[in-house]
Amino acid sequence: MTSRSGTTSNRGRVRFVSTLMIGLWVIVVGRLFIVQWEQADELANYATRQQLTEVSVSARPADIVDRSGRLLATTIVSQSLFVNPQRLDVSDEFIADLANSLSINSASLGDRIKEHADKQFLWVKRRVSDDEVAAVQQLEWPDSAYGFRDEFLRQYPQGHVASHVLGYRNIDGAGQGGVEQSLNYLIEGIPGKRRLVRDALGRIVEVSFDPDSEPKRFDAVQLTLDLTVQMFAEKALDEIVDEWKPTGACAIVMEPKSGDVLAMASRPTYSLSDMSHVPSNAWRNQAISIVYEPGSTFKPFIVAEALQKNVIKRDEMFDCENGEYRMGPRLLHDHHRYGKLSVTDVLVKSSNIGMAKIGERLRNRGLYDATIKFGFGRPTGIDLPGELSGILRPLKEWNGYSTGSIPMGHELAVTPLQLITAQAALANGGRLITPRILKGVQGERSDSARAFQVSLEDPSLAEPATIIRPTVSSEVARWVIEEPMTQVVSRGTGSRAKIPGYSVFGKTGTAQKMDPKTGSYSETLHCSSFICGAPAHNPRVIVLVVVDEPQSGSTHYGGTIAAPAAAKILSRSLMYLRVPPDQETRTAAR
Amino acid sequence: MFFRFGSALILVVVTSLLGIFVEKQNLTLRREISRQHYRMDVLQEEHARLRLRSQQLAAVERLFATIEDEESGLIPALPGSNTFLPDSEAASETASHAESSSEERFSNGAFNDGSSDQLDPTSDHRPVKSDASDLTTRRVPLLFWQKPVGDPRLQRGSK
Repeated sequence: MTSRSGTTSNRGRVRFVSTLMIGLWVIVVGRLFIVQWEQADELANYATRQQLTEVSVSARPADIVDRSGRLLATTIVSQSLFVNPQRLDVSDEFIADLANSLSINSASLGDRIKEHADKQFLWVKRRVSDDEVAAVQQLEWPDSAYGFRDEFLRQYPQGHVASHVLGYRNIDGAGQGGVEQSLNYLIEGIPGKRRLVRDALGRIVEVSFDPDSEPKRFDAVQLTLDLTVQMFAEKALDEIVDEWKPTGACAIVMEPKSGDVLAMASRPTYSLSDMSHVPSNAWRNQAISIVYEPGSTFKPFIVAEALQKNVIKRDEMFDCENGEYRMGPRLLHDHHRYGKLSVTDVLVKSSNIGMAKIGERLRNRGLYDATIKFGFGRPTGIDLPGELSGILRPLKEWNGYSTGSIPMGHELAVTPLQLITAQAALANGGRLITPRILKGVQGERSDSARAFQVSLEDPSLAEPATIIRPTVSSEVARWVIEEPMTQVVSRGTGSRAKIPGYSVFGKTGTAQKMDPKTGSYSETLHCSSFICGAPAHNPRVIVLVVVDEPQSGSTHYGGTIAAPAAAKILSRSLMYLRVPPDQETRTAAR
Repeated sequence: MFFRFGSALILVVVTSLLGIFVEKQNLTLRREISRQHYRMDVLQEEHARLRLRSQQLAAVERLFATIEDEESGLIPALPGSNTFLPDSEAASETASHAESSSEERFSNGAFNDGSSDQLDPTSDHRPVKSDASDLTTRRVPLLFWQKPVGDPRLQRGSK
């Protein structure tokens, strides 16, 4: 009896324990179901948030190189110091030590830290040097009180060379001026993302790299500039500034067939390696951001247009009235008293009266067509910010004065780049080409065996040259270059631009400037210029030098001030580019 | 019974250990990949700094100063600066170097900046042989550093 009741009791216990175990298992399974099924996404996200941190990674800005691959701008990583003012024990001694380490003013630093004492983040100095980093670390602050953050630092190894073309990147990394601004869409790249995996203590145990999330950037943006030719231009301008003390000057070197700008220099200038002392008037790139009356350098375009329209003939003679010519109510003068001059001599002697008579043949409509054809009155379209369009009044505002003024390069204002672009059209058989500063980019997808190929992402950049329109026929353009403009140098006003061995063509320009006080043309303020190129039969290089308001010296003529500098740039460029002398060949052929 | 239970248990343990091993290997490899990317970043930065330094040292402005010093006679001409000339020209160029000072060469060559002879429109400007020789002579020091020896495009006799 006792054993039966004991067996019954054991069965009850077994049943109870079994039920309990099954119940617990059901609860566990149910919880598992809830965790793994019902709350799976929510919990997974929660875990991910705890383990993974996504940080944005800036793309390193692309380098800028010249046409030979020489470095003009690059980027390195620099460290910026920040502090947590709430964690700092701000004492005068501490501020003095910190200011001393960073070479900054201790009073202003102390004011800033005390002013932001309730903040948790404050920049102390951005992009500090390695020595400054070491000096700060020796102060032995608590880690929670300060930190360094990596930032990109733009470096320009060539100093002041081509500073106006390059521009710079400001403290926030934004392009300011030059190609840094205009080509920023190619230079800055696209930021990426990286995922950091942390352990339970918050330490980073893994950096997860996803190729699709990495920053996208081009390796380099290649300009058409040639650093050596640029240096020729910079040196020539320095000599002009030393000798003539102008308020400004600029030089442009261009390859007429492609429209490639080989050099573009401007004075006053600044050094990209020291931006702390930049004169306020040095920011402007005079090659594209000043306008001036071109004066006589404009005359070849009018002659070309007149020949193109058959209103004059190449061998025609013009009576230059012995230096005085009444044109309506206006009395025109030449610098010298000329009698009858051929079309060639009108340009060689730079006769204003001869040009006025050609202007009378073309009339205002024809003169206006010529200016429009050669691209004046609108920006050239170069990839540089701040390019002006020049000043060209509407045709309906032109009058009888215009008929005499326009042919001699007055009553309109051009930028130096417009003028050399128009001259390139004449040197290029009459085809007006958009000047180009961007040669291409080296990108991730480009063929590494062929450096500096244009990216497949933007095939339009691969176009070698953009021909805007034909201006005059190639015969007319060739004649203007090879006859009158070559004789300007060989026996005319541009004789200081002769280069032994080369047939140089050119044109001087000396324009009076408006006196802001009197509102009329000044007798003392001039803009002297000279444009030249070589070899005449197949122009490879053309050079323009513009000197604004030369102050010292007794002369203001473009043939005296600008021509020697332009010739020096041209001769050095021809040799550097290995353009063979052409006059030896011609002499031998005879 | 005991053998079956033991075998199952060992299988579970071995499978678990294998899984742990594979997971650790996976983590190690991923960490190595992270480290490689970090090294890549460091090397890229190092490359950028070294490239910057080399370009600063070889900046055209610095080289120009050197070349102008050479032309002014402050430093001797670089040996072998006639590498690009044919042998006969190189010989005559060497003789020319010996006979004329740097200053004379400067005033005679293509760097003429408007001497009185050049300004005279009545003078004959057709180049004579000596001018041509000087022109060639002038070209050499300017190009020496730009196209160094060893550039296949500049080997003697190459076209």
